[in-house]
Amino acid sequence: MSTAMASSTRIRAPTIHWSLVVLLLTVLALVTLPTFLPHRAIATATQMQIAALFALAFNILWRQTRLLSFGHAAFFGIGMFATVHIMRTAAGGTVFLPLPLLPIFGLMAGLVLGVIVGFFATARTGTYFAMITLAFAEIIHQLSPQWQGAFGGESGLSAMRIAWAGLSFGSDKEVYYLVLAWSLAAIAGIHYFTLTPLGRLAFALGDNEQRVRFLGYNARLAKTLVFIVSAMFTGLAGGLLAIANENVDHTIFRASLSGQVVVHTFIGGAGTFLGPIVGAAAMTMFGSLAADLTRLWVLYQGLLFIVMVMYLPQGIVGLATDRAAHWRWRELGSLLPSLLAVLAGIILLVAGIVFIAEFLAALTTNPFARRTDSGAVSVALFGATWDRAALTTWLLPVCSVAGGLILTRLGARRLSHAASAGVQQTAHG
Amino acid sequence: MIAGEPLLELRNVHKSFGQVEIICGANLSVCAGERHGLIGPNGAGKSTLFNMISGLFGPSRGEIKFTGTRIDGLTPERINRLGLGRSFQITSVFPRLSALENLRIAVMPRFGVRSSVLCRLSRHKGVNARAEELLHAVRLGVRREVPAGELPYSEQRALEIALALASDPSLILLDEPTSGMSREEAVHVVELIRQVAAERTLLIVEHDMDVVFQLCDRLSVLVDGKVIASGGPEDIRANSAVREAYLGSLAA
Repeated sequence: MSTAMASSTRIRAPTIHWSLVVLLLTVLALVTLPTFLPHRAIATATQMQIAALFALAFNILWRQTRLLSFGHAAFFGIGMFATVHIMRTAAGGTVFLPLPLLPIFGLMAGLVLGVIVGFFATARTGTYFAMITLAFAEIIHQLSPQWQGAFGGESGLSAMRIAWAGLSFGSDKEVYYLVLAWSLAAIAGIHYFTLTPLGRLAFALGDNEQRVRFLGYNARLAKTLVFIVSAMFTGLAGGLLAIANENVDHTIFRASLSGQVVVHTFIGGAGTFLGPIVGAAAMTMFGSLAADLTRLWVLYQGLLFIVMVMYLPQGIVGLATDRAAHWRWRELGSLLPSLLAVLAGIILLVAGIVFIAEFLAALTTNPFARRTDSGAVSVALFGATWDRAALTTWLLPVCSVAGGLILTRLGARRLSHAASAGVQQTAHG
Repeated sequence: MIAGEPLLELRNVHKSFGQVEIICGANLSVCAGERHGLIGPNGAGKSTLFNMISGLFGPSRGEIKFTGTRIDGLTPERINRLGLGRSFQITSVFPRLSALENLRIAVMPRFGVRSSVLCRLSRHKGVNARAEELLHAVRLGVRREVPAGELPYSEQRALEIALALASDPSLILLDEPTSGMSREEAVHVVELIRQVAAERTLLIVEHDMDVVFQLCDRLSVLVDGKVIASGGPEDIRANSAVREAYLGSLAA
């Protein structure tokens, strides 16, 4: 007994130590980041944090309680509108409302709407739960443009950030720090929630709701409370975006935003705490970078989502933690060829698919398709001109995709063999 | 033998699903302190009766009294709070939570923190003490940190029994506690039930006749939705109707 405990502390102590170091370094990096970044990148980093908090708040419901909401845009949007309203009131100057505290109103709006939607939605589970949340969000989406006073009609509402305590909040940097402080506090709060009695009960509800009832719990009440916590933090994320954007209109309630948070969460890893943060931050960053380069970003994001759900349902973070647990790092050298093969395969695959997609898009969009004097149709892409009728134009991307598929499969197979061998060794050791 | 009112009493209970009547006028009484076995051939309605008593669904007709109050039609959580705990034939633990956390969840209502968000559950002294006590009672002390889903089957069954005990119930319903177990595992679980359920009232559904006759001091026989006999093990063995309907093949 005592030896078992001693060995477990020996194993565990460095893990805690390292995760703390990583946490501190991450916070340090986030705090110093704006000094190195250009203005536009600071604004993107702010959006990334808000998206991360949104996804994390959404995933309280899915990861713990196994309730999949398709209507979280409602809580995000209501948080935005509430905060914009309060910013307009603050601008009137009649009440003293310091800007850094205003996201609280987003949180409260999310809470109130969460009580209402949660009460109805938690009467059902599974598909029906998802349908109820979707229906509520869609009702608000459809009705909001007609309620001019509250939602500003088609044009929406604008507000101004009012200076407070010597801070003008006029620069991207000041907004970044305001959002960072709130995001870090909210992430810490959500993490703490997972350790509280209700947070642990939420896991039990996700595992076996019937058993929870036979232990004397009102399961529906418990689910409603978890729903409210999720809606509350989602409203807070909306409040932060209201401060960053200084305006909002009814399209924030659109179903595609509710869908986007699901995509972010599952790409990052819905079964892990950090997954939604990583997924939302990564997809927001790629979205911002890709927006300048291609109009097909939504297509690529959709393809990535399908591939992830089909082949890597545990997501980026789930995959990383799985592999880190099963691989023996000493064997990394022998695995390196397989890793490189997978990496090269993915690059070939992506290059081939992007080429085909962009080429077809260019062909079907008139201004980019050019007919030369000889009658050939060609498109300029990736610094070269490609003839529609030439065999190489089609052969090259198809070969790239095929080669990429082969390389990825071969590499992945060897890696999963190594992983299962690692599991066996750990089990024997 | 019966002193005063029984702890659990079923009077003329009926239950139909659609056109099919599964329970047709069952009468049953379980007295405080006894270990009562409910036996009967497959399809006799034992599980249906259990689910009705514990509140998964209500009876179509008839009444169920527990500690003198009617409980038919109440929700599972209400019935549990009146002092009835149950286990399931199909293991119903929380696979993502550790063995200790399973028990923390089960005991925390008694400490008034069921929906608190103001403390860490793992730091609650009362909850921890009681959960550890239960964990050791079913000899899972060394499995404290193991996710319940990764425990071997027999240990999940032991955890299942601990969950049924956690709310400190006056009546415990055990639904085939040794189902799917080897002989040695079953012996171990019977011993466990004897110890942890000492001085508690038990109602057990069990297929294994050895287990039933070892563990129970009173038996009721359910055949075709009716209780055809109740009595001590020897009376039941001797009962001609029971022999004909059920035990006949075993006695031969």
